[in-house]
Amino acid sequence: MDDDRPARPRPTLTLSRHAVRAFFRNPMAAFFTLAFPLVFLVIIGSLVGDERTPEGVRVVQFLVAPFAVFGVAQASFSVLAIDTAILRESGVLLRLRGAPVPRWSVLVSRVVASVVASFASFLLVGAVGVLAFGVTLQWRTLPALVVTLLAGTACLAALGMALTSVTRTVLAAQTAAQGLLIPLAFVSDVFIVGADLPGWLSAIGTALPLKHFADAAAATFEPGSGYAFSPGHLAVLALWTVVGAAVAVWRFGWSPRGSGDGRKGPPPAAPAPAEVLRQPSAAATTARPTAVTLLLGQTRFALLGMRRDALATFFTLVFPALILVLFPVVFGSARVHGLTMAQYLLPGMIAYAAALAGYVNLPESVAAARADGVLKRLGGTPLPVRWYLGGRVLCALLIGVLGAVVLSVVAVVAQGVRLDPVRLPAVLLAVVLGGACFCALGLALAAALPRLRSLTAITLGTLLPLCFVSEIFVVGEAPLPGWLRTIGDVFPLRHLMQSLLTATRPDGDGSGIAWSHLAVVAVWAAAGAVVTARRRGAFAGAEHAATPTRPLRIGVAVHR
Amino acid sequence: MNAPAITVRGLVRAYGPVRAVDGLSFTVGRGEIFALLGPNGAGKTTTVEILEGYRDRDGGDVSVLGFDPATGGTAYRERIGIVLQAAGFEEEFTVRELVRLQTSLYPRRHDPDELIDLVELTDKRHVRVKALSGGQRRRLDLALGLAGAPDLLFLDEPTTGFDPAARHRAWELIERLRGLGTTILLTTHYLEEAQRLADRVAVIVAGRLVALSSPEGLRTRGRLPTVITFELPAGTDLAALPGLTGTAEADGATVRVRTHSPLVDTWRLTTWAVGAGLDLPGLAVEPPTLEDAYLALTGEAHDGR
Repeated sequence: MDDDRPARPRPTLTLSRHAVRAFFRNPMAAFFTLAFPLVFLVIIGSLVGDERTPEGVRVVQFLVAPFAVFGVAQASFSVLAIDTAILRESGVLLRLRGAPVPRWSVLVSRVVASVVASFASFLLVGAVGVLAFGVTLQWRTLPALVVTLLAGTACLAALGMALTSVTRTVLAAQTAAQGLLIPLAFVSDVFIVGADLPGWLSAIGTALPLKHFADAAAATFEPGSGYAFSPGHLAVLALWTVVGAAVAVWRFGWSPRGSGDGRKGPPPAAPAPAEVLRQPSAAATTARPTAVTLLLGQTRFALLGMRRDALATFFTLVFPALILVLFPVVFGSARVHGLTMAQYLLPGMIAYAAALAGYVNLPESVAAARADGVLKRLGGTPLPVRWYLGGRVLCALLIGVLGAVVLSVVAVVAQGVRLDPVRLPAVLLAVVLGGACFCALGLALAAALPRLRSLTAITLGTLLPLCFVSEIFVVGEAPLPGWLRTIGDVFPLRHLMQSLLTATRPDGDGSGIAWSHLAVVAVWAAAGAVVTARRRGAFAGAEHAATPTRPLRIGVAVHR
Repeated sequence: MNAPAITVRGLVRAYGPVRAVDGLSFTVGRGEIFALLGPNGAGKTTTVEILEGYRDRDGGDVSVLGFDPATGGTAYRERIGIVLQAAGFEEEFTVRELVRLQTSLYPRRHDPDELIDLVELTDKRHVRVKALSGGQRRRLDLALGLAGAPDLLFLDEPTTGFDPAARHRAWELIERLRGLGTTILLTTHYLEEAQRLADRVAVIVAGRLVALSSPEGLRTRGRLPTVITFELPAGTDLAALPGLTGTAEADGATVRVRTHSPLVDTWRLTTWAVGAGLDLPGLAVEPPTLEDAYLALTGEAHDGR
């Protein structure tokens, strides 16, 4: 027994402190709430920050609020909803229910953590804006800023908890959170500020709280006089807070799915009495499966898994299509590098889908299978691991091609984009080679980091910034600053994008094959393949790196 | 203080048309280790979850440490400890951090470091949970259940997945808790575990109590036969054996005699063998085990439906 026995436990305080620490130890949470908005601010601030609005204010003054709002939304909505769902699924919440802790204290501690993380995210983005980009903060609007932040965080946290309450699994919570937030950010003055949206999109944005949060926060960065309070926006936020809290309190569940909601199915049937058990029929020996059979079997299996992973499907196929549809609507007849918006976006979105399938989804599924012991089990079967990986790669390539087809159909049918059939083989070649390149890089990453269960923070965290410097996500007509351009030139994404642009641009001629760009992509593919092959032991499936890991060597003999 | 720790009277819980718990009654004395046994789906978990306050009941009276678990709230939870069958952890925290957090939730509590020593995770205290083995996780789970120095501990299959040495250490730990006066409600699939630890055993089948007694009482109560085994001496067969009260069966050279009069039959066999100048290699007299009694009991109950 201890001697430093305090009078009473203070569970709300204890659990809140714990939840804050849990938040900052979660690499995904730190990435989405801190790094993601910061990277956006740095890249876009560098690209267009010094341009002036018609009133003569530097554009960067208007970038801090939206990106900080995005970070806050990730912290208080997505991460809160997903983390709480994880705690529910793992049984941690159930254990807490067994401790002498009031229910509300558990819920409040989760919300407190998201408030702290939201403020941290806002402070970080704000500080970088002020210190590195010369954004001016006004003391006069500070009260309004703090009130807005509190109101926005409370609203999104209530909705995040409501989302956890109405979903039953982590995957569902994850899919719903990101699938709602990211499209919403486009129509809520977060990713595109002051866009001239079509009426129905604008109506969606106005009905939901994110736009009101973003607008109220942006008002506090407007130069001028006044205290910048936005009572109308704050009222909408308060209303949604009540709705979210009501749903959360009404529906919140503590038990993992299938055990605790009192609607468990009937008890399992009694095992059959011993007399009924029969010998299995004699094992039939058939021909040993060929490599092709194995590969196709694994591919089919991988595709099935993909089809059941709604989140991956959303980001790989729906999200780029959404951008392809939305941007030309928002920006009207603006031309990019001499092309219509849709014509320019199409190759970029095809490249994005192929890169995401190979570089984000593929290593994520492999890392999860490794951590769950699936690869270890496979290691005990006659299936060589290369066919498992081959199946995954083929699946990613098929998804990439599917993405290209979907995006092309959308572009041609809805956006009036013209594609020359003669150059379709060039498109296919670029998609397959580019997809293979990103698969190789994704596998190399999974091989080099054998202990990580999830690689999304690293893969998305490198891919999304690269999308900007590779001019996949277009930001204005101005050429990239030299150093960003150099980064873009080194990595394969820009070259894949340029290959696809060459193959799709209406004023092109010949076969549309950009050999020099494709060569760079091929070199990266080879490098990734070499690393993967050298570290193939990392796929043997030992959970805690029980296999001796050799130092990573890339093509260079290292003297011991 | 002589009031029972747990009193259950006519407990009923239905899921739709299925009565998972169907009129269950038992009491558990203070300081007792009480084991619930039964096949999967018999209603053990539902019963325990009702006692833990996780689940509502449809009928019957339940009193645990003087509380109704359904309404006991925080005051009730301060006195109990729960080790769930399959609850995870926050993987990014160390053993010590999680134990400290859990202890700080209780007004009466164990010292975190002492608890960690108790479950033999001393050298893992600063290791993050994600690096623990399955058995180590189970021990951490036990430490979290003990955080509030509970008067009553619920243990749901506490040693599943342990190696034999770890299981014996866990049993010693549980016996030490009994020494401290902790009441323990145990569910388990290991009859050896119930036999070693439990003062009394309740067997539940299809939501009803089919037996309740000490492990020894359960073992002997079923009037199961004792089995005498030996190898047939070379050159003899079953027909050569003397008349026995039980029935003899041969499996190759191995003979099994099932008998309710083991003393008489053993005497007849050995007298016969000694008289004929024969040996009975591998001679063994095995009384019915708890497992035999349990299987007979749950088998009967199934047949009776």
